[in-house]
Amino acid sequence: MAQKRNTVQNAVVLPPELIASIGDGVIVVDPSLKVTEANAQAVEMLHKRKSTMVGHPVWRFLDIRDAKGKKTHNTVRITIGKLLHKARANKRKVPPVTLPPVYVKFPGLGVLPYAFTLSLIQNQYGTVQGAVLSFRDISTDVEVGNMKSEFVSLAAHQLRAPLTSIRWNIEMLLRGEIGPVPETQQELLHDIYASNGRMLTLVNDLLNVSRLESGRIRVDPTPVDLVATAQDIKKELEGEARVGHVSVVVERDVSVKEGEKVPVDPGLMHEVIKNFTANAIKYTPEGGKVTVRVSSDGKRYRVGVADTGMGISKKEQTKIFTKFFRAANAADKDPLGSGLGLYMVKMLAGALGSKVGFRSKEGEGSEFFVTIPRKGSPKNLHGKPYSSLSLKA
Amino acid sequence: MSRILIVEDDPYIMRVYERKFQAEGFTIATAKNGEEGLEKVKEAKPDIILLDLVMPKKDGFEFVRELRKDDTYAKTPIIVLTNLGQEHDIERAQKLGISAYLLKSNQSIQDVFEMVQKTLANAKS
Repeated sequence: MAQKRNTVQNAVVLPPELIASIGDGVIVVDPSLKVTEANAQAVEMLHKRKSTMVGHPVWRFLDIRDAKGKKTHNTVRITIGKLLHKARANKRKVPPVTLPPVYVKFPGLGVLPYAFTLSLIQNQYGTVQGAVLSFRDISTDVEVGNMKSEFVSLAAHQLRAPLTSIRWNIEMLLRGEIGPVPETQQELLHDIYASNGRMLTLVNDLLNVSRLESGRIRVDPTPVDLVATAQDIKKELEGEARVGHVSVVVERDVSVKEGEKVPVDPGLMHEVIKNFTANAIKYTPEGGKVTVRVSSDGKRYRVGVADTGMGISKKEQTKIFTKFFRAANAADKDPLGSGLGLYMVKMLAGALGSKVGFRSKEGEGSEFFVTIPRKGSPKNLHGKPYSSLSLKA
Repeated sequence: MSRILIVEDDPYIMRVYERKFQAEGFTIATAKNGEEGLEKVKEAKPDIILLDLVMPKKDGFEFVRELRKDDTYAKTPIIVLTNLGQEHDIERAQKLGISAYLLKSNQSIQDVFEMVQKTLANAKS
């Protein structure tokens, strides 16, 4: 009789001295996710005796909540399920996964954020013999992160008032409302005005980044026609396209019906596509073309923004969505960019339940795209609205 | 000549308003917070009020709530100019009965002036 796979019989036994020496809480489970071993740290965190845990499903001791302490879907359980499925389907070693902060309600401790790492124990044939759940309290990290975001948010708010008064004063000088200004001085005032505008934009970007990083952005899905959104953006960026001598085309693939809508947050989706399109126009040389194409594969919508621009060098491609990163050729063409745009776009897409990506060849052009599930974005009405700042030149 | 009451705690922002509206021929009254605003409103008899929201002593929300209790000012147009951009702030102010809600950092001073003129014209018609 063939040996029954993935049962307690083939669970591996890890030496207790080994897991006792690990500083994090460690629970070892068999393939049916029943506890076989727990180190002293885990026992202390869970407020349970080891003898009461062994042999019972691990979920009996892990009460997963959301940050506010409400019952929520068990991300640890879902992830372990996915890892097991992967291991059983491919019979290959599955690498460990570290989850973003998971909130766990521990008896007597309240709800605390934990960093979980889940690793499968597999034999040489890939058969799962169990799993190790290691976790550590990251309340301090989360608190410091929140404080940082709060600080940036407060500082940005406080900066807006003086920046506004500077802007308004220069504006009045430039309009000659205080008296005639010689041409040479006007030039300086224009520069100050432009720098002030950049600072305001940067302050706004930092505010948005801090909101996005803390997951506090409001997402209010309503049916959106992606083709119409792309057309609106084309119109908004007409000036930039004209100055840069770049033509912008919006295309609807046959896979998308005319007027077809997907429930996403209109403002955030607009921001994502606009950012891609504005970048494409900015980094495409004169006579170039930018094509915004909306398509669908049945499961997802896809908005792709392709350009005939400078492209991104291979070695820089992995960093393109990271904070403050600017590709060398882009920084050369426009030294004033903050490197926050694509970082924000990636986080915005995340808030929208969407994914972003790109294809690029240096010297030939790039295509940045966002894919949106047909069911649209998850709702989050508790966050703060993303503030898009449209300064008039 | 129109009369405007400006309620704003930032002295530098206030000075820009003063310069702009003086140059445009307005009669100006100013107040540093909501409390002072409620005192000044009686002598200033404004045709329109420019109002900040976050201020010490009495904030902009409180100012509107109390002002609207007096029938004389039940319909005086109020333009809110603030850096509070959250939807619930906007909704809260609108429920109290204001004419417009503008984000300072999104506006030029000329935009502010034009909004004041437009609001005055609407109020008269």
